Order: sequence, then C-alpha cells, then structure tokens
Amino acid sequence: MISAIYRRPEVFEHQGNPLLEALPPILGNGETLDLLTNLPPYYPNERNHSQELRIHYLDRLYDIIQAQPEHLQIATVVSRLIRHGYKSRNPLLRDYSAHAYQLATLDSEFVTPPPNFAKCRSGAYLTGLSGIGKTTIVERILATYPQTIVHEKYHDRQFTQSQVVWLKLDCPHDGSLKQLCLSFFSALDHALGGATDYYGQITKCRMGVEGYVTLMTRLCHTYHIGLLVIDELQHLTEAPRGGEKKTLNFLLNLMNSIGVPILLLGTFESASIFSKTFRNARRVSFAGPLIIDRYSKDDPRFRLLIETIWHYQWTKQPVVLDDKMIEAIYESSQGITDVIVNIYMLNQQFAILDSKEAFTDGDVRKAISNHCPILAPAINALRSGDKKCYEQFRELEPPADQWNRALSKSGQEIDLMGVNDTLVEEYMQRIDSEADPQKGAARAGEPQEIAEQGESQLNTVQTVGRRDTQRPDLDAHMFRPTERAKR
Amino acid sequence: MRLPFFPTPFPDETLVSLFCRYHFMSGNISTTETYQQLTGIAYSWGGRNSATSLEAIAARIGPCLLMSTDELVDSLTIAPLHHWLIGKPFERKSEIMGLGQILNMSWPVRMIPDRESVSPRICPVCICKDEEMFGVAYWHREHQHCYTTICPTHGVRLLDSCPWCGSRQNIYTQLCLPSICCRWCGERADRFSGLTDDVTWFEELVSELSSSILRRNRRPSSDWTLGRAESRIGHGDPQASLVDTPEFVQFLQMLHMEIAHIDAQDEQARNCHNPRWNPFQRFRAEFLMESLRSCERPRARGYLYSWLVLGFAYRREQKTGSIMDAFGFA
Repeated sequence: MISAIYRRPEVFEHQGNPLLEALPPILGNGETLDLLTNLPPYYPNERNHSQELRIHYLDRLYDIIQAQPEHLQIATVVSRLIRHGYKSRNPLLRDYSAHAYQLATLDSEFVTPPPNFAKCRSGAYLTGLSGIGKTTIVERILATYPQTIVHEKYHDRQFTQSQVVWLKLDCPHDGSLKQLCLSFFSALDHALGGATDYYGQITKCRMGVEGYVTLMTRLCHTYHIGLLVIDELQHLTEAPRGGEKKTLNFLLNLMNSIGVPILLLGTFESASIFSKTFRNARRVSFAGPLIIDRYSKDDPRFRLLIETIWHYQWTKQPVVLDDKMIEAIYESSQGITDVIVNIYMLNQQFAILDSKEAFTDGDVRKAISNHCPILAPAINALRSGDKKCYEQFRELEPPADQWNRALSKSGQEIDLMGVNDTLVEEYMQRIDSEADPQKGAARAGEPQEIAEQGESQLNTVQTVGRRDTQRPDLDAHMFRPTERAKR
Repeated sequence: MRLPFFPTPFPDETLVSLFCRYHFMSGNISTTETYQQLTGIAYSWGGRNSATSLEAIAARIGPCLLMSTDELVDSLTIAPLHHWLIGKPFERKSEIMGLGQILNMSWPVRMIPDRESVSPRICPVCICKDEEMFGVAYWHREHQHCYTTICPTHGVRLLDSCPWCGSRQNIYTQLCLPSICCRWCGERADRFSGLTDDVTWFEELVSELSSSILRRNRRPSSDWTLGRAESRIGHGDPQASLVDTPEFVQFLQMLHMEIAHIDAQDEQARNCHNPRWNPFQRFRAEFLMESLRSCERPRARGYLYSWLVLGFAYRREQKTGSIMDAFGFA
C-alpha cells in the first residue's frame, strides 16, 4: 500500500481523474524492459563453494526473467487496460456516485451503467502453453504497479479512498463461480492490508451465489479495482454443465456494468471456451488474444534466453555454450521456457552431485528421459508435430487449430502462423539494423506486408507483437548478465 | 485500524448520512459491521443505546475527513445550533455522551421528554436536486432540528413519514438514505399537494435562523445567546425584561390564535388528504407551549423559551435586515 502522489498524466484526457493521476507514469519501452527483466545476483567465486551450497544456488535460476518483445506487448496491454478502465470511472463525477448508489441499492449486478461506460468495456485474453511463463510475466508486469493506492486528499479536497489497481485470482479447480467470488473477497482483504474482513463476513452469513456476485460487483466499484486478472482459466472447462458459461457471463457483466477490465490467463485448453460464444470472444479482443507460443529452433529470442541463463553456472568446470548445446537444449525442451530452465538446472544438479562438475550436449539430450520421464510423452508429441497427438494432450493444441475446428462448418480458417513469423521477422530486423542499417531498412517493408496479409486471414484474431509499430530498442536494453553481476 | 475509504461530505450533510453512505458503499452485510468499523465497538441494535464517546468516533473518522473533533461536531451535527441558542460551551464527556445522541439528527431533542423517537426528515425538492447534482440524496442538517418544519431553501414542508401511507424509515437500524419514493407504497413524495400548505411566519423564522446558524459552521464569537434570556428571568436580570412585558403576553396570545386557525385548516386538510397524515402537529408552536408547561428540566425549558423569545423579538423588529443581524449574532 502506498499513499497517492498525483502527477500530471501524459495523456490529456486522463487529467482531472485522481485514479489515473495517482498511477505510475507510462514507461518507455526501454524502462519497461529493465523493470521486467529480473537477474538475481551471481558471483563467479561461488563455483568454488561446497556441493551443498551450490545445489541451493541453483534455485536462483527460477528467479530469472528475461524480458522479450512479447512481454513488452503484454505490458502495454496491461497499461492500456488499466488506464482505459479508469478513464470512464472518475469518482469526482456525478455519474459515478449515482452509479455506485444504484449498485448499492438495487441488490443486483445488472445495473445500467452511465452512458460513457459503453466505450470502456475492455478485456484481454492471454494464452500459451503450460510453463511458457504467462503467470510469471503477468505477475512481473503487475508488480510494476502498486497494488493499492491510498488516497487522502486531492487538490485540497478530502478524498479518502483505497484504489486497488489490480487483483489477481486463480480460477477455482472446479470452475465454480462461488469459489471464484470467495477467492475475490479473500484477495481483496489481502490487498487492503487487513483493514476489511469480507471473507469472514461472507462465510459467516448464509448467502447464495447471487448475493456473492452482487457484493463483488459493488466492491469492485467501491475500491476502484483497475484490473481483474483471472489465471488458470482452463479450469473452467472442468465446470459442471453450463458452469463455464455462467462464470464467463458474470465476468462480462462485471466489465459491462462496472467497467472493470479483465485479463484472462489460461493454457491453450482454455481457448475452446471462447469458440462457443461470439460476445465472450469479442469482449476479450481489446488487444486481440495474446498468444505466447513456444520458441522455434532458430528464434533469436530462444538464443537470448539460453545466453542469459547460461551465465548462472555453478559447476566447477565451465560448460561452453555452442551450437550443438543449443540444439540439444531445443530438442529436449521444444522451446518451452520452464522446461529449458529445468533441463539446465537438472544437468547442473546431477553434474554437481555426481562430482563430474560438467555436462555435455549428450547429457542434455538424455535429461528428460533420465530425470523427468513424466514430461517425455508431451515433449515427444510436440517434437513430432503430429496433430493426432493433441487428442491425448488437449492443452498442447494451438488455439488456431481449436478455433479452426469450431469454424470448420462455415468453411473459414484461421492462420496464426503468419503472424508469428512476422513477430520473428521484426525481431530479426532489429538485430540486423544494429549490425547493418541499410539491410534493416531494406527489410522494413516486409513485416508490415506480412502483418496486413495476416490480418486479412485472421478474422478477429491477432497475436502478440502485431500492433506495436514502435518496437523496443532491444539491443540497447539487452541483458548483459556479467555486467550486471559485476554491478 | 484506518478505514479503507470514507465518503466525502456533501454540503450540509449530517454525520449519520455519512454513516449511511459508508454502509452502502462498504458492502457490509449488516449495520452491526458498519458500526463496528466506524466506532470500533459492536452494537446490539443500531447503536442507540450505546455509550460510545464522541472521541472514539472522531478518532476513527476524523483522520479520514481531515477534521478535528470540534470541526467534526460543528460541521456534521446540529450541535452548533444548540451552542448558539443555549450559549453554554460543550462539556463533551457529559453532554455528548452517547453515539445515539450524536447520530440522532434531531439532537439535542433528547433533552425534551417524550421526544425519544424522531424520524429523520426530508425535503422532497432537496432530494430531487441532490440526485441531479450529486447522483445520490442524503440527509441534510438543516432539516433535522426538532423545531424546523419547513425547508429553509425551498420553503416546503419537511416530511418525516410518507405523506401517502404514513410509513417511516428507521435510520438507525437500516442506515438507509432518503428516497423520493416510499419503500412501502412506492408513491413519490414530491407529488403530494400539501407540501406548501399552512406555512406560518413562525415556522419560516425558525427554519431561517436554524439554517443561518448551521451554515456558519462555527461557534458564536460572543457569549450573547438567546438562551441567556431565559436564565436571567428568575434572577431579576434587567435584560430579561423582554419576556416580562405585556407585549410578550400579547405575542403568545397571537400565537395561540394562529395555531387555532392552522388547526382548523389542518382539519380540512385531513379531510381532503390522507387521514393518516398529520403534518407536524407536534412541531408547531402549540407544542412548544405545551412542552414549556410540562417540561421540568430547566435547560430544556430554556431552550423552548429561546425560540419563543426569538419569535417575539423578531416580530417586534418587523424583520428588518438579516435575521442574524437582527439578533446581534456576530
């Protein structure tokens, strides 16, 4: 919790709204990348420490976050969602009080919003394979905002309010709306620093789900919740018949009646939920469905990630990162972030425990089958690229394939691959432009054309990185682990 | 523990109105939680019998409103009215003992016997204006003084119950905000035709003076207050001669005649309107006289005398200039 410090907002229409003026400034791409990247300390002399200590140092690998272009895009979407939502919710305006009172007295979440709310119904949907880093990066982005801002005085006027900028909930394991509401009350109590006990009040009284929903709606308004993040959306597929629809409808009503933007996170399995109803899909298309796909073999971002984590080595003999090693890591991990880190960590762990104090690309190739056999079938399925394997591992099926299945009756088709190519092309172009400005300029037209072509094929679907016309100067902010470690 | 939020007071809003708005916004299931959060003490019912000191409330709410205890009392209760008329500074611990007395918007009406339960009053025109301006209607201080019967701004009769069905709102147990539509019969209060009937000069006088005092939001700078006049009567104070004159007796007789006339009109009104609606019979001058005769507590009697003296003197001055100037209030 921090006290509000009001500053002049960069966007003129944000002026005069204390909720927007108290937010941190809109950061440049470079600053955002710096904030998102997390590099735990590393000291080369730790290689000489005892075996027991070095095993514990390995846990630092899980704390590493290497910001990537798509993360920047997600950060922009989060910033836009929060600000877009607050734009129509100015507590100093008459309509806002009237709306609050309506919500408080009508005992229903279905309240007609003020006219200007109509423009601010927004949500986003972020999906990706399990372990790709969705939750990690979103939590990292959210951490760049204070969760709760305490207002006391605005322009010499008493203004005692608590502004909960974001609230993150996990979708309950059974997709139940009641449990979702309960976790909301619990998270809100926590965000308000224990000043309230809504969870205690609710669990003591006999109230139905309708009551929970009404109260939740009211509290979203009272505490000016800026963004509601709902993780593990794939759990909704486990909801009893009609349950997923009920929960999604409720979330959409929250967007409609209160203007609270919602960011939904889930694995590819959750994509099927949106193929059933148009309005649900439309509401979360504020920035298009954000898809974090696994890295391809030649993806420069993959190499960047490997280079970043490679500096965190605690074997006594340094292991060199060459092309063979990179290929071996890709073969074993199939470009999934969490698996990459796991493989690297396991190889170091066993090298230290076995006193070999080094590992080879051969060890890396065997890591999954030797140390994580439970992952092997899924990795093999991804490696084979056989769509029949998706029947066994539903959550590995890319959203485009799922939506194509839904669209197959109408004869339309979604193609997401072109857009992903665009992303990589743009990224390579930036790298090239650093090395050879002329070459970079010559390639400048290509991604745009591809993007436009992709858009025509997409119907309503877009992917990460498409809308961003001003790309971050990645090289300027590229991670230099050794330099940072020295600092 | 700091309150996570607290409403910003609207112009002329009472403390209990802020409590009501907090209750609505907080989403608390029952008023018990609201009272507990605002005072730190749990209440058995509505807080009327509790003996929480003003300091406890002020310690909780004062920081949220950026107000000291004195500022809170002066700007959110009708206590300043009492101060101006009685003239004795507050001894808070003894005089403002209970939360109920502070929350009771008709305070200090409790000093007068048989007036324990007074419903909060509304002006239907104010409700519409508030909703238009602030999006929500609230309880006004200017309407809540026990002898104020008409709205000082709009000149219409204040309502303490639904003019159509006679139902009342129990503000203490429900912590509800005023509404133009009755919760029980659904009729709109502003459609009632008797809102401007029978307004007497005495009622106008009382409401105007109450309003003038409350709008000042501060204590009197001089120790001259009307209450002193009554206290001087029994002690041969030369200034008390005002009420001992034949003119004063004549004034009272005239007041009686006016009341008789109004009673006759009321009778007609009762015949043409809802028979259950008896508009402020008990707040009229006759009631003041009755209370004066039956009241045994010296301070309460002094308070009533103050109003009568005020009315008499004002009448004698022929209402020249500001009402506050007419009585020498600084």
